[in-house]
Amino acid sequence: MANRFHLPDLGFGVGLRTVHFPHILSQNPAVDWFEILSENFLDTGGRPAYVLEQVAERYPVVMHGVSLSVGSTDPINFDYLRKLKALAGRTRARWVSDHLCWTGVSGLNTHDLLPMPYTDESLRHTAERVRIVMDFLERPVFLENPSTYLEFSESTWTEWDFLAALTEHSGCGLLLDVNNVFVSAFNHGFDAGEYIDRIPAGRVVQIHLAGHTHKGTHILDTHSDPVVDAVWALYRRASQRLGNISTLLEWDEDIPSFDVVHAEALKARQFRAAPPSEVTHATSIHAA
Amino acid sequence: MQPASTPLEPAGAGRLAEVQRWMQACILAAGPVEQAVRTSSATKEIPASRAPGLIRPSRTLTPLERLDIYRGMYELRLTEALRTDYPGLAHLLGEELFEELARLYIRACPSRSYTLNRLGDHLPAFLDDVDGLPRPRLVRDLARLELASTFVFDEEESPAAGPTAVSRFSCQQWGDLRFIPIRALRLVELSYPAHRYLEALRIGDTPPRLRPAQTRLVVYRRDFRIFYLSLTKPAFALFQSLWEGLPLGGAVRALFGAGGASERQVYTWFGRWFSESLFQRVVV
Repeated sequence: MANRFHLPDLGFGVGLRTVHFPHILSQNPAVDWFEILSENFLDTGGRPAYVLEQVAERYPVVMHGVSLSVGSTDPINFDYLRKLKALAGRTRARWVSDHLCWTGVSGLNTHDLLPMPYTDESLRHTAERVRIVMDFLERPVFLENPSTYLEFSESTWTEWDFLAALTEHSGCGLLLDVNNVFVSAFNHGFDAGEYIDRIPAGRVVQIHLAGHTHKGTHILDTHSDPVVDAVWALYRRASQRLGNISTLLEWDEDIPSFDVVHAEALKARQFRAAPPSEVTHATSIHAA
Repeated sequence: MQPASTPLEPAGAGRLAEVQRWMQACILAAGPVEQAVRTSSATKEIPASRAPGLIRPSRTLTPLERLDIYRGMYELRLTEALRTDYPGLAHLLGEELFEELARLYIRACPSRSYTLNRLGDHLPAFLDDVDGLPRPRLVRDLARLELASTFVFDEEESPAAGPTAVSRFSCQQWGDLRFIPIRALRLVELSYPAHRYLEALRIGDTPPRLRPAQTRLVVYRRDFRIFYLSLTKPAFALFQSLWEGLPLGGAVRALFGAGGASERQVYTWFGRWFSESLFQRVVV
């Protein structure tokens, strides 16, 4: 199923992380694409900027942010958006994503992806801000479902219905984090499969996969381990429903070698709906 | 639950803002979560008695236990960001003391930026007001040096000028020459040779036991690595004058007037500074 933004399936990507810089620059690994953490590159002119320039010349790059704070009731930070827009131009980013969350109010930033109450007020507020952000960036924005550890009693929407409504009211797209669906489903006791089945298919342009940490009473989205079997099963279900979607493996704690991370990302091939030969177009970009 | 096509009702009077201010106040507050919901900044938004009702319990956790997950992650994340920028300070203080200090700092100077990269900008100033630090002057020196290093790390790359940048001017013009340092450069004066501590850590050695010694450093970046060049007092004074934009003639006259250096020494210094690629341009 094609997404309504006509964005391509880039194949299987990994997050660009500092510990892998030397390997990537020297080995030019055959990875389909890279996702960068936008904030790591907004204000640096040093080595990260140099490495990103090299990577953007060789691979498709997608930008993923953590500070858009699109659900916050603070004013929108246009200084941040200006830098984001400039970075997207420099890297020729295929698309720009962030999260359905807020990170702070009253001028402060907790640097966490804090949960929204899923209410009409939140929806109206967030949709308006998403529209402003997209107008400013002059491109669609894709919002990721976050892992959450609490639910507000006043929520009147499920998260998947809220996301669906948000896409309708704002025009944004979605980044479906399958691990986050699993984490939140455990933490809140909803059916992860129903979530996957209800997410608006034509709006999803990217999927995230990651490992997590089970604390017994709850699960934390730590990106510190391989993907668990139950999340692979959800990924298969998502692929069957959504078709082949650009898939990215995140690994941010106790990061192993690049080859291990890449191999974990490539495991996704066996869970996809279509054979791998149909999703390898992106590899030709850096093989040239 | 409502279908996506339901028309949206007008929002209430800032309920979302109220909930967000409340949750943030609870996250930022020190002490246990039961105490956090009773702080004035939290109760200003939502009375403590109503706090548990704001969050649904899970099968395994109470509402406040769920809120506490965010409080724990906040502290961990920001402490880790400080540790990344201040590895020397963390090593010198030890894990326990560094984390205690980080907790105090985070409460005193919460982040106001979209980036964690500048979270620690106020740490050296904060340390000036902290009593009871072990080896306080060294602790403060390390913090200042590591902060300068973070600025140097992130600065824009600038091209380096060689000695030929000077030779293209006639001797008559030399007095008017201005030496523009590369952007990835800072000057730091310390009471300890704290750079030796960081250099040892960088190569995995045990840092030396440092003794006090007036130390004047150029912190700079070359080939994306950070270096520390230790200067004598007169050499540092000259470089500082150039850094501040003084023309060469004025800077050198001031130095010679104070009897700080010979002409031969100045030539030697400039040779070293050019070889270290400390200047990006020489202009009149």
